[in-house]
Amino acid sequence: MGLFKSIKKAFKKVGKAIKKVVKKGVKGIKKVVKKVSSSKILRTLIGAGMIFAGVGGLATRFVGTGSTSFFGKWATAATNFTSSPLGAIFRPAYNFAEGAGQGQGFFGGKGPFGTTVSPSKVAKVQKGKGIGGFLKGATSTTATGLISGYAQNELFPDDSQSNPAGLSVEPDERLAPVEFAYQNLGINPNDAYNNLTYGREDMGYVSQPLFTQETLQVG
Amino acid sequence: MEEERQEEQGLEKEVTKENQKELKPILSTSLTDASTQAILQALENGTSEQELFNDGEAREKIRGENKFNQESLDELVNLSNQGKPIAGQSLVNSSESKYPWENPPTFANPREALDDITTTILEPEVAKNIVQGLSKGASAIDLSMGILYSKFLQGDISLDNLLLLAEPATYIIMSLGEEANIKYNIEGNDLDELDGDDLKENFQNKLNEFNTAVGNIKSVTKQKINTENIDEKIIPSSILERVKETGSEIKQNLLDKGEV
Repeated sequence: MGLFKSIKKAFKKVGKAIKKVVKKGVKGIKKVVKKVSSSKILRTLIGAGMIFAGVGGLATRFVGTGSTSFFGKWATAATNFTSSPLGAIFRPAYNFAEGAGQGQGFFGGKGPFGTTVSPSKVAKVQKGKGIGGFLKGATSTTATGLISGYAQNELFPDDSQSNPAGLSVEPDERLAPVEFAYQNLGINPNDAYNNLTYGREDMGYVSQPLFTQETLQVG
Repeated sequence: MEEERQEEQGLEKEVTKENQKELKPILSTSLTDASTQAILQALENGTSEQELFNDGEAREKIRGENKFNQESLDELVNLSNQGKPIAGQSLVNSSESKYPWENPPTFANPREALDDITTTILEPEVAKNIVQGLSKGASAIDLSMGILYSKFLQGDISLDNLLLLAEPATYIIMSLGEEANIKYNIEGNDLDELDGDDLKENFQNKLNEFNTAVGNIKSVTKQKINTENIDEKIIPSSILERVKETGSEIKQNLLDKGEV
């Protein structure tokens, strides 16, 4: 079978799978919400999908936030994640940015998902507390480098140890209590090129373009 | 007074803390699955249906019906008869003049590729054409596959990324359809497939309502009829006897199919 024929075959398969999964999603929500029509659920599902695909933010370029249109509504949600419980639920990588650095959460032993939705915690990221500030300053770092770099900051603040690259941290008993978001989810975070993941815990949202980031000029 | 207020505020804070539910992790390789989980979690955490599913003014949607057209079919047949490469033709190409898809793709990272595709789709001219296509019955999956395929042919994305990005690209196109107030096809000609369930459910609900109403009337009427107060002498006994005699015959006639 030629390359293009096999692509065509894969197209059909993928197309059917998408439709099936979309219908399954609508039905799943409909089971919980009886009175809302399927088309309204589909609309909301697409809005949520836009945010998780990272397109919600892009939509703000076309529609002003605060607009009551479909795009506007979800664009607002995409930009004001932290101001409401709804925002926190749709916030990608929220717990990562929020919990870490506070002695709980990402590297604190309590687990990254132990945080609650609380508007009072909203401003922490904005104020630059915890990893929020760290993220703001580290605009030219890849996601994996960022995570390990931050872990090293937290774990070895005063040591003058060399920093291993990426996630290839040497096994050390001091690292035993470290919890990692993907640990129990069966997804390999190093597999950035083969996996696309979606959801609040997806690290893709804090990543920068790989291999194109600026480097320090020597000499 | 101030102390009381502070105490009240403290109590309120404690109550809200108790009411706050923990967020479960949401991470999936499927965009739909992640979105579904998020919506269900929002509902579970007390977000109102109104807030989640309200889409403002209810406007009548434009139906993007896929209509059969002989002219279009002829055009398609003509296009497919334009000629195909001879088997093995690509093998005689110079190794220095590679096709774009034979080179490393411009975007190796699926996230970067998705950003590029999103930017392309949301260009005003492209978005306009997509919306027109949806309103004329083109399905969202066909359109997204067309875009991804052309991106692959241009050498922008790899085949792996093409398949990985199928779902998010379809979502972007569907969102354009939603924004343009079009009732679009997702795959093939399935315009009413989702609403079909609603219609069935509505019919079933109305049938159940009718049955309950009839049942109520029956039971209320039965309760109101007091058999003890019925005056049996109101009909002469001779007539009653006659009814008893011919009753089975009358019943038979009523149920008779008659001559066919």
